[in-house]
Amino acid sequence: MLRYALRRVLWVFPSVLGVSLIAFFVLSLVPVEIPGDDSGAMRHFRFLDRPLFFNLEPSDVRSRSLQAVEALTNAPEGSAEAQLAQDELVRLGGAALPFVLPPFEDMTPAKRVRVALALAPIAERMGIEHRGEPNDPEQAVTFWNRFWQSHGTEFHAPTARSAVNRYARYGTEARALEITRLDTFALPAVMDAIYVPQSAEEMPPLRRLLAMASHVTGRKDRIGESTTPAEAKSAVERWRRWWLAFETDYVPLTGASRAAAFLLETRYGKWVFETVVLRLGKDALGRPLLDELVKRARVTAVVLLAGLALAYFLAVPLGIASAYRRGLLLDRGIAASVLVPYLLSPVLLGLLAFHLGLASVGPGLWASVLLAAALSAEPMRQQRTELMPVLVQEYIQAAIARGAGPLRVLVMHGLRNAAIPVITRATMELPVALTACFVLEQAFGLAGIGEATLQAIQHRDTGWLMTLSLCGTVWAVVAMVLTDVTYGLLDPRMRHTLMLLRRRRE
Amino acid sequence: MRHRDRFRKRLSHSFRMRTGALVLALFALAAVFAEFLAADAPVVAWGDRGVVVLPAVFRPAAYPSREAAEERHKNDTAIWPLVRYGPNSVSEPSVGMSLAHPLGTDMHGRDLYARLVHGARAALLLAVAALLFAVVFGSLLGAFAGYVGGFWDEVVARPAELVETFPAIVVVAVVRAVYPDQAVWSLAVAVAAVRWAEIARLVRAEVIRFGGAEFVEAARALGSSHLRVLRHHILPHALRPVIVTALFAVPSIVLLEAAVSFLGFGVRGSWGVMLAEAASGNWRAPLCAVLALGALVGASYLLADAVGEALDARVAAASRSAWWARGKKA
Repeated sequence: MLRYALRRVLWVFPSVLGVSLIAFFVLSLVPVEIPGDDSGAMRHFRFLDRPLFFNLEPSDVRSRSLQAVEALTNAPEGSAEAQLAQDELVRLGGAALPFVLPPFEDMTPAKRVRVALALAPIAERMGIEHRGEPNDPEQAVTFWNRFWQSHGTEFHAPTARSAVNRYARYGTEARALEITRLDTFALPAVMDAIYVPQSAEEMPPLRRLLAMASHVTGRKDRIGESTTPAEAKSAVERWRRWWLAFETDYVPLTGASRAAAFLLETRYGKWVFETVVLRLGKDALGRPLLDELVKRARVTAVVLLAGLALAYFLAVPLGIASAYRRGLLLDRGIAASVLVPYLLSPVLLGLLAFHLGLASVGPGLWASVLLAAALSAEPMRQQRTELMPVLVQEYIQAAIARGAGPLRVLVMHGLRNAAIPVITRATMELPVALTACFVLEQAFGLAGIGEATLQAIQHRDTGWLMTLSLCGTVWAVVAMVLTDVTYGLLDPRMRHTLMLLRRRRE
Repeated sequence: MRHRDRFRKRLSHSFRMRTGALVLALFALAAVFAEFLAADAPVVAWGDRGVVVLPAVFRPAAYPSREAAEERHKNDTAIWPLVRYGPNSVSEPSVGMSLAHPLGTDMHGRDLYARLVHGARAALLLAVAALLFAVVFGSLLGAFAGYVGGFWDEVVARPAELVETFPAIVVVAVVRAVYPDQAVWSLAVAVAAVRWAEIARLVRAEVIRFGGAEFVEAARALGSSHLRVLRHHILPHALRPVIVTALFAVPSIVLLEAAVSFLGFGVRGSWGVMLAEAASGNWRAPLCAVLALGALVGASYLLADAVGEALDARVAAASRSAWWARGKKA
């Protein structure tokens, strides 16, 4: 039985994958408006410029810099396109140099000069500007050729990595120069080196690294002398999130990484990465999703589980009594008494209770009680219908004939066979009860998952809804396994069937 | 006497069945003929402009308000609906029952009777559309999985199991985030997306149960095609559980809609919206809505219960609590 349950639990993985794919596709239909001038960068940051599931042509620093050079040389001088291309080149910075400087020989002299002049801001950032040479049309090309001849060998990933490590450790001026001269080429190594500080002593290297990253990218997100480790942690998280979106702007894709980018450089791939590495990311209001989810799930789970337990505690005896007195006054009375709250639905129950002022005394308790009232009709009815065919069986009549009292007949003989579907129903009902739970949460003003979901719908917050779908999936699989296991535990015949099914499947 | 006749006899003698069917039929009629019962525009009008039939349905643009309709047909001969107010036309707020307003008006002056009648349309349209889709889709998939078996069975049965236990409210939330417009169809799609699995499971179970039966083998030996065997020999067995499940699904869908409307993303003009108005402390509309909801849910519940019981021959045979007396006698 345990092995069977474990095997079934493994279904969580394909299920989560399938549901996340479907939910991601559906939620990608939600239109996203990003206000402001830098909407292009923001779209890039939120992965919106990537294809949904497959990226046939992932862009990297190589393709981007070549495109920028192409655009720059083809656009008329002083035009808006030329300015855009130059900005792009400057943004890519040192990481683009290995793809821009070597092909200088193949260009016409005029183009060469234009590209070299466009690179001037990079030279300034790198601190290698020498007597205005990069800005002088006569000398810019020679300047860059000379630079590449003397420093080109430094543009290698291992060199950058050791330079960054040295800088983090010693933080001297000379080490800083090493990295500034690599410009954005050192960024992958810097992003690799940043870490979440645990104490104040661990702060200075991180401060240096973030200052360097901030210098080469122009992102003003540094930490100062007085920053606490907690603030530094969120700064690191922000940088990592940024790096998730912008990594390929500074790293060339080659071989295996290019093949992986086919799947990873997509909106879905990025989302999975964000979910796994960055703990679900942030919601529309900028709160960390995981913390929010755990906090709210506590409220919802208490109401839901207490309500469900109470509902079955009421429903099973009522169902038995109802089947016992089938068609008589008691049966009808019970049917009416559970149907009325069912019909009033959690909506009206919640509102009534709210107006009666029950919300002020233990809202969670009242929510559970009302949830139980609204939910008990279905299991009551099921208990009744399950028990009725059992009660006309011959072995029941035999028990009555032997002189067993009604209680003994009903509970010992009848219920034994009729309770199983009702009990297994309880596990299946968890997801169904969620709707009623949301309603009661709303009526009583409880800050549970329901409230957050309503906000998410209003803000069209896809992150929260994705998370909710995934939780729903895990929940559904767990409910499925629980149902099977309770079935197997309660009914030996069923255990046999389950095993048989398994063997046949194998 | 054939089984079908027995079933019919049991049903026609059942009080629950008759009550349930009658109430459901009344609601269905109200939903279909809502414009005859309550609307701003006349049912039929003839005069200078010729004959106009049901303008509220065919030319709503020409009738922006109640006053416009009255003005337009001032000199015409016209048959007006029972109540001359649409669900959105405003008159005096919070009026008691009168001839013009059979159930009075709500706090915004909208006629409650009109709102109820048009709300019935929203409720039934949602339930019927969702169930139709779920039954067709679920039956096809279930029959396919059960009949073909093996790999394809797994492909259908595993996701169906998952979908059946998936919280419906989450699907509704996702759909509403994509289509915030409070239309019936998008909610129907969301409901159907979780409902098909139950039908598929039932149909699949029946198909597997009878797939190896002797009469199926005989039909195959006589040269019937797979499709014919499935349609004529196997699927009729699945009809009953599907009918019972679908009937029981009606109240649960209607209640789900009420809950979703309360949360603020249901269907425009539905009973759930009326229910939610209780939040502002005005009980007139919610009371009407809860009575209508109760009648509809109760009726489908009664009908489903009666049909389900009539289909189970063993239970039907044992009347009242005779089982106890019989046991004593034995």
